[in-house]
Amino acid sequence: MQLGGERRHELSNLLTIALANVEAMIDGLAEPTQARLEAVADAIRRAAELIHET
Amino acid sequence: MKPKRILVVEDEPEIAAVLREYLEREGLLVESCDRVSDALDVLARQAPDLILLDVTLKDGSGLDVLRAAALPESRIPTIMLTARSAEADRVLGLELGADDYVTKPFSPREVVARVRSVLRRTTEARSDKARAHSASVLRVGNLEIDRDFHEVRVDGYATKLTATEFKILSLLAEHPGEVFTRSHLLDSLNDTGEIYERTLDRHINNLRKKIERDPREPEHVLTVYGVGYKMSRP
Repeated sequence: MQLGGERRHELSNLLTIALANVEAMIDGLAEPTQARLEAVADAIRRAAELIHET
Repeated sequence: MKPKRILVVEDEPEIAAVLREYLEREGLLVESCDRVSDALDVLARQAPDLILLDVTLKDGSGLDVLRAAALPESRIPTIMLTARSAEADRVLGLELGADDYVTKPFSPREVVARVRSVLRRTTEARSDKARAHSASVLRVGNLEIDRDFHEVRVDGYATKLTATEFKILSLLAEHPGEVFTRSHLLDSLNDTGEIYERTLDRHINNLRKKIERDPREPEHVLTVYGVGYKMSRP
């Protein structure tokens, strides 16, 4: 599987969003609010879509 | 100590927001923007202490920001945020003067650790430089003799001295209170043999006109009658 440059950039960003938000909650910097958890789920979902599109 | 200012250049708002939370917890001031043009505006307005720079931006390449940040007169420490695959950008960025990089997907903890490390390195390097420089500045009363820049400041204002006047003043100021005979001064100054005893007095007079409040009542370069000259003790 080869991901194009643009798509790879997008995928990296989505994973960074997911990881950064989860770490912020682990580190006590962010409350595990509904909105925060939705943002993580959304980033993972969009990342999965990108992979399927390839 | 003044809090350090960090400029985050990142076009993904959610990433920028989490980075801000982490950096602010470290007591850092965070400013963020998502375009090359805005980043260049910030640099022109007030240089931050460090830049976190996404290399792939919507309106162009973050490397253009890096080029501006790495100019020798500003030399702002920069950490690149790049995709793991973007090796060419990373190499070019490091060659352009980036201090470090973090690959996406990154953990914000890692970014914070690298920010701290780069800030520590640059602060230490700067204070070493400042210390080395201040050792080369002699202060006597309202005079500052800057041997690195070959400049003398009177009450903070730069004054133009000739090379000979500068040498005389530095020599005397390095040993305040010590009397230099005319022949000792001439020996120390005369690499080329062009200064004679009678011209030495003229150099001293000219020097006094430039650095003394009242050249007829000198406070710095004092005449020791029948012997020579000395610098007053501060």
